[in-house]
Amino acid sequence: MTLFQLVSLAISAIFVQNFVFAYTLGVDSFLAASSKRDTALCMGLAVTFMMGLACVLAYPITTFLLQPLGVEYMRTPVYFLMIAVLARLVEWLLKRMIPVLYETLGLYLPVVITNCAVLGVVLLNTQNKFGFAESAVYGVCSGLGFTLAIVLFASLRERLEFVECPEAFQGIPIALVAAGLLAMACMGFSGLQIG
Amino acid sequence: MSARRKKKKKTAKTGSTVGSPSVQQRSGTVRAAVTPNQSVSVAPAVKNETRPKKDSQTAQPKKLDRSRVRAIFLDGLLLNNPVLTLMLGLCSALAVTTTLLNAIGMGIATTLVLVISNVAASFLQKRISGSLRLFVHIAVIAVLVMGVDLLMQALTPGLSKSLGIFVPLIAVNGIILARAEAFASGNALGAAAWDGVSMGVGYTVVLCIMGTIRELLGAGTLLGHSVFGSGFQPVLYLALPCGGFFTLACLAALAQHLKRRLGGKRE
Repeated sequence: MTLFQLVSLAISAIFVQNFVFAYTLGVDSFLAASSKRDTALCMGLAVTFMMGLACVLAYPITTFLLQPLGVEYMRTPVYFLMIAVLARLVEWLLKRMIPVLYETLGLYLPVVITNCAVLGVVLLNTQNKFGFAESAVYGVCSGLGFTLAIVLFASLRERLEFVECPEAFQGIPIALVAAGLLAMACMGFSGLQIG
Repeated sequence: MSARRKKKKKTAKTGSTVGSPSVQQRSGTVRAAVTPNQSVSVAPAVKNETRPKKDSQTAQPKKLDRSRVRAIFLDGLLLNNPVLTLMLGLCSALAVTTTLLNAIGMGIATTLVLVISNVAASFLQKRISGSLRLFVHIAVIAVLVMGVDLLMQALTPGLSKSLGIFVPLIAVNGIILARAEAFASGNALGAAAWDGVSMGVGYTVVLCIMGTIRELLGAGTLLGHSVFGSGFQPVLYLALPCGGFFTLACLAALAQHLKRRLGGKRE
């Protein structure tokens, strides 16, 4: 794996194959935490952190534990429990060691457990048979893509509050329309060929 | 998280102490309405005397009477619909609804996991306490999803392949953990199972509607059969993720409208 390929994988993960707009992974937290831009940024960074950490840890678990034992079908429970324990552990560590960071990121970690994006990226790594470096880069960059999407969307939603729209569309439905338009805009990247 | 759990505990406590008499009263009135020959003569005091004996036979803090069955079902279908109102489990709802068949398969698989995990959560509620409960729920759900995944690979390999990673991702479908934590771990087995069925049906119905719209207009087919003939020009973007967002937006608006009308009628 050359450096160039890693860079192209990173760009593709952030823009072209954006987790929210191309795979529709992590849409739950994408909608739930996007009413304010600061909240959205914190959520995005927490997800990025967890995705990177989960990808880095999932690789040794898969190659040194699941594959030698021949129990690769156990990967869903193993990864899910790993993510849950990891989220709790990091939350606890942050609370004790860096209280400042806990107030911004730590509060979002429990929500990250049921974010499909975190488990999704780990499963995609296994499915694409990525190596260690690729897994780590893919994890972090997909997280950055998620952060980009949620921050853009939150900025849009802050303005949506002043929009006059039909009663039935107030709140979530009009936000979903905005998300659809963003996804459509993101399709513009799909022609991008790197390398 | 901890604040939420504390609140839940409080509501669970009040539910067992304050809530049960009201439920008893409600079931009493329903009983009275069903058997009109008693309804006039039996005083409330007598009712309260006879009630505990009958309740001790079923021995559940919250009884599942007919009005509650209907309330739970309506909750799952419309008022608290997992996709349209709670906005949970959207990842799979948006990703797999490009065809109706995928939507049906996803809906059934999710319902299965939801019902069993709800029953398990209700069964475990008094046996496990505190912070361990979340992990036990997660383990139960993950193992269930693994089972469903293997079952689908064996029985419907084509469907399993076209759903891809979204079958294992049922495990992180927010609705399953949310119902296990918020509803099933404070309710009796029957109510928890019925809540799982209602939520699952609500989820499946929404997925099927989205699947029908997106397959019909996005590809011009339904369950793989051509509907409009060869002259039809499919609306390609409906089959893409952005089309999913638009379809979901319209359905959510419809649900909001229906809920508002329903609420107005009751008042």
